[in-house]
Amino acid sequence: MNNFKKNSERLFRFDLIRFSKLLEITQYAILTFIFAFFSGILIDKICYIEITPDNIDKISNFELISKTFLQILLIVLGSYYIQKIIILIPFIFPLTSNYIPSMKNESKIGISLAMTMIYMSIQKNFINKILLLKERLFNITTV
Amino acid sequence: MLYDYLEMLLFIIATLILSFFSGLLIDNIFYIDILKNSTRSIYSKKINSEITSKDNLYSNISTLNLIFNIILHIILIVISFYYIKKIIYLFPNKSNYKINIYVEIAMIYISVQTNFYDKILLLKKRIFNNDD
Repeated sequence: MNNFKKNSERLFRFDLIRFSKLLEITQYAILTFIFAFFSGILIDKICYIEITPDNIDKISNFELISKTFLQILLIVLGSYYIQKIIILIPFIFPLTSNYIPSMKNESKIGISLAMTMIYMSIQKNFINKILLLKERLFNITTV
Repeated sequence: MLYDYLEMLLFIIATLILSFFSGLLIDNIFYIDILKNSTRSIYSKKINSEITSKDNLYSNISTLNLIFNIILHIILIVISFYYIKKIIYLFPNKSNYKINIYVEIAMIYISVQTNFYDKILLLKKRIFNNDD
């Protein structure tokens, strides 16, 4: 019960520190959006396989698997380095001097959330490759 | 031991319900009518050129408005993530297990927020003018 009381106090707390925290998460999420949007498009282009009804049989399993793995590798490296680059930019809106930026990993929360959402939305060819791979391996047509 | 597992199950189900409904709500708040076809078909069809072809895309939204909408959408997503975690921790957590709820919420948000996906693709199309 004590735990519930403590946590509910935390939930409804709204002061300058909480507001700064939300601002920090938002700032890093927006910065990540910019970086992840362009790098996601680039990665999807590098590992692009044209999947159309005409050439679907011409795509070999080797090409499909190798490009999927390459894309995963680039996604992992991209997210690692984007995080490193974005963290170089300091939090610009601390509303109170008592606020210590990123004390509870606020920047990392904003970055990882935005990165996941944007990368999954932008890399359409990656999703198509995974679906084709699933179809090849298990003979399940996703319609 | 069984109690711990039940507690964990409650934790996971609560996260699922909260993120599902909040995800739907956020997607509806910033909804832009982009595609005439169903969005899910982007994932399910091998050929999606017909979905992103110019005939099926509404073009009356300005690019600036679209970027602004996406940014607001992202802001609401991250704030809701933050508060969902706070709400989830109101549940009893005696065993103090560390589950990465962010992964669960992210997976549900990605599946539920189809309009967000469409907006990102439309922005890509606007900036690079391609139909990939």
